[in-house]
Amino acid sequence: MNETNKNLKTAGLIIALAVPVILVVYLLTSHKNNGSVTTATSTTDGIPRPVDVGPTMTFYKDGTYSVTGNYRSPGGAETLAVTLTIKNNVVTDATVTPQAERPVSVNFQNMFAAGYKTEVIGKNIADLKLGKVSGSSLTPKGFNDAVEQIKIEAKQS
Amino acid sequence: MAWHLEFTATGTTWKIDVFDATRSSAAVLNTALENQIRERINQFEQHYSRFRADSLLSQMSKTPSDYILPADGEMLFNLYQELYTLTNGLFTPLIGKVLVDAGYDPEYSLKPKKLSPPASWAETIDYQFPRFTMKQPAQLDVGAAGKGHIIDLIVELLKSKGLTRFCVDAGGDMFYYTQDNQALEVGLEHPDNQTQVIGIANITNQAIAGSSGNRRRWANFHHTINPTTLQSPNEIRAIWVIAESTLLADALTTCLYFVPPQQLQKYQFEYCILYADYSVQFSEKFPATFF
Repeated sequence: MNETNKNLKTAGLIIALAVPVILVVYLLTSHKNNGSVTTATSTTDGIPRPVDVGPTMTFYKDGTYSVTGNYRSPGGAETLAVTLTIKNNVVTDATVTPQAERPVSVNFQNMFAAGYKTEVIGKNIADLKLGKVSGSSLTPKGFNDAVEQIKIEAKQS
Repeated sequence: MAWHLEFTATGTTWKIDVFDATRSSAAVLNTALENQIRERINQFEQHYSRFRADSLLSQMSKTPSDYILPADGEMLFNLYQELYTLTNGLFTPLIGKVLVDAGYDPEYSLKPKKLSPPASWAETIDYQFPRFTMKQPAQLDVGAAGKGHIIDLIVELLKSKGLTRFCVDAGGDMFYYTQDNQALEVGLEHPDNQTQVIGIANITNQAIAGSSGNRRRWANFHHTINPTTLQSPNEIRAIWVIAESTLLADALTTCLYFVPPQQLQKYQFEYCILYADYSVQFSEKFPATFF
C-alpha cells in the first residue's frame, strides 16, 4: 500500500489500541472497592503531612465492567466498547466490540478486536466426546528413539 | 458403519475415517482403495521427501539443473513462491540446510552443528511451473506445506470414488469433507498435556492444521526454525489455522510463527495463536470455544 495509507493505518492502529488501555486504567480507578488504603499524618510544625505507611492492597470488586470509549480518528469521532471481567483482583476476560462507523475505522477496530483470552486451561479429552484432536504431528518411532538415545548419551558424558 | 484406516506415512500417523454408510460406499471401501491411498502418498514422498535419498527433491538439492516438476508440484511451489515474498523470506523451501545443521537430518542425529542462514530464493531458484531450475546446490525442504498438500490430494481421491462424508487426518492436520453440512468437532490439543484440549473447534468442508513445538524437540530447537534468528520461536506455544485447503492451512501455521496475521490478509483463513503465557489470540470468526 502507498505511504500515506500506511501512515494512516499505523496512526489508526495506535489510536485503536490506546483506547482500551486508557479505558482499563479508567475502569480500575473508578470501580475500586477500597480494601485497606490507609493514610497517616505527622506533624512537627503543626501542619499535617501524609507519610508513607508501606504497601497497601487495593481490592477490586469481582464483576464485569463495561464502558464505551470515545476517540478521535483522523476521520472523526468513533466509539469502541470494552468489557472486562475481574475475579480475585485479576482481569480474567476482556472483550472489545467494534462500534466504528467509518469504513477505515471499522477495519482498524476489527483488526484489534480479533479475539483475545487472557488464559486458557485444559480439559481432559476422556471427559469430552471428541473424535478428533488437532495438534502437532505425532512423531515416528525413529524420532522418539533418537531423542531417547541423546538423553542416554548425555547422562553418560 | 464407518471405515477407519490407520497407518504410518510421511513421518506420522494417518487416520482416515469415512462416515458414508450406504451400499454403494461399502463397495469402494476395500483393500484396493487402501492400497491406492498408500501408493499415492508413497508417490508424493518419492517426489518431495527430504528423508528419501532417491527422491526428486533430494536430487534437486544436490545437483544444479533444470527440472520438470510433476503435476502435484504446481500448487505447492506456487504457494511457496507467494509466501516467500509475503514473509520476506522467513517462509522458505531453502530452510532444509538449517534443519539439517540443527540436527533434524534423515538419520535424526539431533546433534546441532553451527547454523547459518540459508541462501535466498533469487540466488538459488528460478521457478515457473513446470520448470524448476536449481542454480546451486541447496537442501530443499517442503515440510511446512507438503503434508497439507498430500492430504488435499487424498481428499480428491476419496471424492472421486463418490464418497460423501469423511475426514483425512495426518498427524493432527486434517480435512473434513461433507455433503450434508454436519460439522466435525475437533479438540485443540494442549501442547503440554496430550490428554487434554484447551478448546473445541468446528469445521465443515474445511481443513484445520495445528502446529506446536512440543513433540519434535531436541537441544534448544523444535522443528520450526526462523531462518534469520536461527532459533525456534518459544513465545508461541501452538498455532491452529482453519482454511479451505489443507495446503494453505498447513503453510500458514508456519508463517504465523514469524509474521503477524495482518501480513497474510490476502488469504481467507481463521487462526488461533496460543502464547507461552497461555493467553490466546484468535481471529474474529475462529469457530471454537475455549476453556
